[in-house]
Parts: sequence; C-alpha cells; structure tokens
Amino acid sequence: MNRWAERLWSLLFLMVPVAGVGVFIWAMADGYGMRGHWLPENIDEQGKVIDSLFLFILGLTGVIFVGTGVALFWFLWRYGAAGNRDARVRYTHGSHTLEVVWSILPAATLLFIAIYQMDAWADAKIRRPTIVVNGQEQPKPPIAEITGRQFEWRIRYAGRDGVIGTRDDLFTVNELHLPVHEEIVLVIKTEDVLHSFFLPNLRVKQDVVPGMKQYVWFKPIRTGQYDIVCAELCGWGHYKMRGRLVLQTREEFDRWFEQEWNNQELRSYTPPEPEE
Amino acid sequence: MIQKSHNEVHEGDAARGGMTFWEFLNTYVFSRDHKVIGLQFLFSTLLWFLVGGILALGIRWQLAYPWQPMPIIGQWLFAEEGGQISPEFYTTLFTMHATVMIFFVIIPILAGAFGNFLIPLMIGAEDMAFPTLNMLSYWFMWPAFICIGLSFFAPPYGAGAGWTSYPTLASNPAAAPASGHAQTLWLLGITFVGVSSMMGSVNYMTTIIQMRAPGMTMFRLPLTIWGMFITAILQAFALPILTAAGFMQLMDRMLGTGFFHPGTVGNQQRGAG
Ligand code: HEM
Ligand SMILES: [Cu+2]
Repeated sequence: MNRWAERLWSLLFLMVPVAGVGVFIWAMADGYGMRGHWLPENIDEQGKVIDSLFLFILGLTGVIFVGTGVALFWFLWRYGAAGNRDARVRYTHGSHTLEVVWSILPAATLLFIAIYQMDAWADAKIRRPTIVVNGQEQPKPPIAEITGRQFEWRIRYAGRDGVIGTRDDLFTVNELHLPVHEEIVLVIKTEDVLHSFFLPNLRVKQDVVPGMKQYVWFKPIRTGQYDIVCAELCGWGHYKMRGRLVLQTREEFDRWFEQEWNNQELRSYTPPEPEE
Repeated sequence: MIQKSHNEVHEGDAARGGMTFWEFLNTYVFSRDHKVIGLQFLFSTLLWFLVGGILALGIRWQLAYPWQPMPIIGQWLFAEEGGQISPEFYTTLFTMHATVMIFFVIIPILAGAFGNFLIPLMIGAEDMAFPTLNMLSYWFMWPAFICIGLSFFAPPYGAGAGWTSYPTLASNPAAAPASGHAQTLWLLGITFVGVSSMMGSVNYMTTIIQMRAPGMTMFRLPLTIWGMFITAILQAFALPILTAAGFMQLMDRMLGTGFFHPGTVGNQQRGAG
C-alpha cells in the first residue's frame, strides 16, 4: 500500500469512534432522523437513579471505545509499512505486567459496578414500599393485579376494600389508570406464556413467569398518558401487546374509578375466593 | 474398532496415489483427520450462513416496508396474505435467522472449524486426542441439519418461539399456534447440535491439556488456544444442562409431561387461570 492509501485507511478507521460518538450525541440532541431515539421521558421519582447508572456505564464503555479506536488509528497512521521502510522492528515476547494490568483493571471495574448498583437494584426489586397497620410495618398491598395473556393486559383493581378478589373489584383491559405522587404497588402474573411488563417512562420492567407472582412498585410524578409494553416475545401478536397508562391526580382517579365501577355489569358475577 | 480398520486403509494412501471408494470415504467423508473435519465444518457452516442471511433479508424487508407485498417471491411464498409477511411468519423469520446464525454458524464455525483446524497445529499435536469422537461430532451435525431443514417445510414453515426457545411459548403446543411440528423439529435439531458440541468440547479440552508438544507449557500457549480452551470448558458446563432442558421441552410437547407448565400434573393440564 502506498502512503496515501495508508492515510486514507487510517482516517476511515478514525471515523468509527467519531461516527459512534456522533450518533449518540445526535440522538441525545433529538436531531433530525433520531427523534425519540434517546431515553423516553422519565416520570418516576427513582427513575433518575436508573438513568444515571445507564449513563455512567455508557460513559465508561464510551471512553474505552474511543480510546481503542483512536489507538488503532494512531498505529495505522504512524506505523504503516510505506512510511517506515527503513525503520528497525522491535520484537517482544509479551509483557506479564501489561497482561496483569489489563486483566485486573476490567475485573475491578466490573466488581465496582456490581457493588455500586446494589442499592438501586434493592430499591427497584427488593425493598417493597411498606405501610403501618396497627403500629406494625408491613408490605404495601397492591392497588391492582395485572395479568398478561396473549395478547393483552387484563387489569383488576382491588377496589375500596383494598383486597383483590372481592366483589368490589374493577376490571379493565389494557387501560391502567393510576394516581400520581403515591407509592404504587402492582402484582403481576401471566395466564399463559412469558411476558414482560414494561413501563418505559417509569423505568420499570419485570418478566412475568407462568406460575409465579411478581410485584413492581414506582412513584409517578407527572400526569399524562404513557405506554405499557410487552417486552418478551410471547407469540405472533407480541408486537401489538400494548396498553395505556393514564396518570391522574387523586381526585381525577377517584372520579374515573367511580364512573367505571358504576358502568360495570356485575349482577351475574360471583367473585372467586380471595387469593391473598 | 473403526479405528483399526481405518489405520489399515490409511497407511498406503500416499504411496499408491489412487484410492478405492472406501478409502475415499474414509479420507474425505468419514474422516478422522482434524484438518478435513475442520474444513467439513467450515463449508457446512458457510452454507448455513447463506441461509441465515436470506432470512435476515426477509426480516429487514418487513421492517423497511411494513405491510407491503414482497416483490417477486412474495406472491409465490405468501399468496394467502397477498404477498405480505404475516406476523406469524415474521416471528418465524427472526427465530430461524437467529437459530441458524447462532447454532449453525457461529458455534460450529468457531469451535468446529477453527478449533479443529488450529488447535493441533498451534500446540504441536499430531491430531486431536480422540479422532473418532471428532468425526462423530461433525456427523452429529447432520441430523441437526436435517431436523432444522425439515422444520422449514412443516407448517408454519419454521419455529416461532425465538432462538432462546423459552417455555411455555416453546413447550406448550397450544401456546404458539404458529409453531406446531416445526418447534418440535427445532428442539430435536438443537439437541443434536448440543450433543455434537459436547463431543467437540471434550476433545478440545483433552487435546489442549494432554497433547501439547514438549516445551509448550500452558503459559506459552497462543491466546487463541486459551480462548478456545476456556470456550470448551464453558461448553462442557453449559451444554449438558441445555440439552437436558431441550429434552424436557420435547417431553412436554410430545408426551404431555409438565416440566415447564405450572399447574400441570402428569398429563392433566389445568385450564388457564
Ligand atoms: C447482514 C447481516 C444481518 C442482518 C441484516 C440481521 C438482521 C437482524 C434483525 C433485523 C434482527 C431483529 C429481528 C427482530 O427482533 O424483529 C435480528 C435478530 C437476531 N440476529 Fe441478526 N442479522 C444479521 C446477522 C446476524 C449474525 C451474523 C448473527 C449471529 C451470529 C445474528 C444473530 C441474531 C440474533 C441472535 C437475533 C435475535 C433473534 C431473537 O430475538 O430471537 N444476526 N437480526
Ligand atoms: Cu406479551
């Protein structure tokens, strides 16, 4: 290869980190053609913790990505055969120090991330919100039960008595209304296959496994309409397994609930035994 | 047994020049030579690479032009849908694309082709530790090729539960009306791939540990060989479990067992709920 071809190729390789970083910045800036490709609007009180973890890991991998890309470019640019015809070659049989360093650094980094994220994980998956009943702290009961099935989300509100499976339950399909500024607990399960209950704007995603019950919790801080999505392939209709999340003030929510409840036809309905 | 007769045949080859039919079969078809087996893996996987690529084209067509008839072959393949890719067939397309790419290209090309060809050469061994096992590991791919190949012809023309084959979508025939016999053939095929890879991994581990040339200590091994060594160890740990899980899914589908179906006792499946 002549000197010019070498230069051209090294610049081409330099384009990898440049374009890579560029695409991310373009997406973050909501640039033309990339609209809506960056993180969806966060409306959860804890969502920023998840987002900052994501950004932290993105930054870390980004630095390594750019570093290796630029190093590759520099070696191509500086040490190509055409420009170094008379240079003497240096042979190496490897360096134990280097190998130890580049083994320990990534291991330590991974360990750091594993420890650093523990609190966020516990908040999202382990420390369910509690309430105090008769001086005793206990897990907050779910406001509704969500049952995934091919290809819809069936929703069953606990109703005024706060217990799911009683006569004052309210049933809806694919439409989940919730009050804002409150700790929401949902119990989710599936009737058939694996699904994944995904609320992108609340940074909540939980697989629902046949035969198991899972709990998710979050605290929305903004009213409006958002998506409910299925995030696990569940058959041919997976693509259309969507629902609508409507976040309202407490008063609006109560009014909606009352209205739906009054519209619900229950005369011929006998509720099954309460499950909990 | 096979080993003995093979050696007898093999010895005179080069000297005589010509070959009988059986010698040809032993040298190039049911070969126990690591290089020939490596090449067999290489060319088989390259063919599957083409299949996987064609399936990817189908996926990309639907993503680029949703709900539009596919030109030329659309009318022929999906006449009932007016030449369009149906949602059912889309799940089949990406399931089979990923399956082919993962189990019939990447795994057998890296371990089967490059591992076989390179390990003995790079560690200074004359061949693999178990040449017959090596031959079997290639030929166990053929039942897999046949099962996966057939699954394209069993309605709905390919499995549709994703390449990860998660139960209960994959294990309950009623869960994916679009999967039918194709899913069963898929599971059989992947089980054969698993058996083949297990045989390979035993061979690679033994060869790397036992057959290095004098002076080739573990820490002088090229990094490539270390990579393959670790891969073989991981395969030896993971594949028996995956293969057993594949069998369990097969039994759930075919014999009515309930390994993956909560609320199932023996043959009795409780209704949903
Ligand atoms: C030109 C080359 C390729 C193209 C255009 C392509 C295209 C795609 C697309 C569009 C999907 C997403 C399908 C969906 O979820 O709707 C996909 C999935 C996938 N592809 Fe490829 N692909 C290519 C090569 C490969 C290769 C070389 C491999 C692996 C060796 C591979 C492995 C996979 C896997 C594992 C999935 C996930 C499938 C699933 O979710 O079940 N692909 N491919
Ligand atoms: Cu789903």
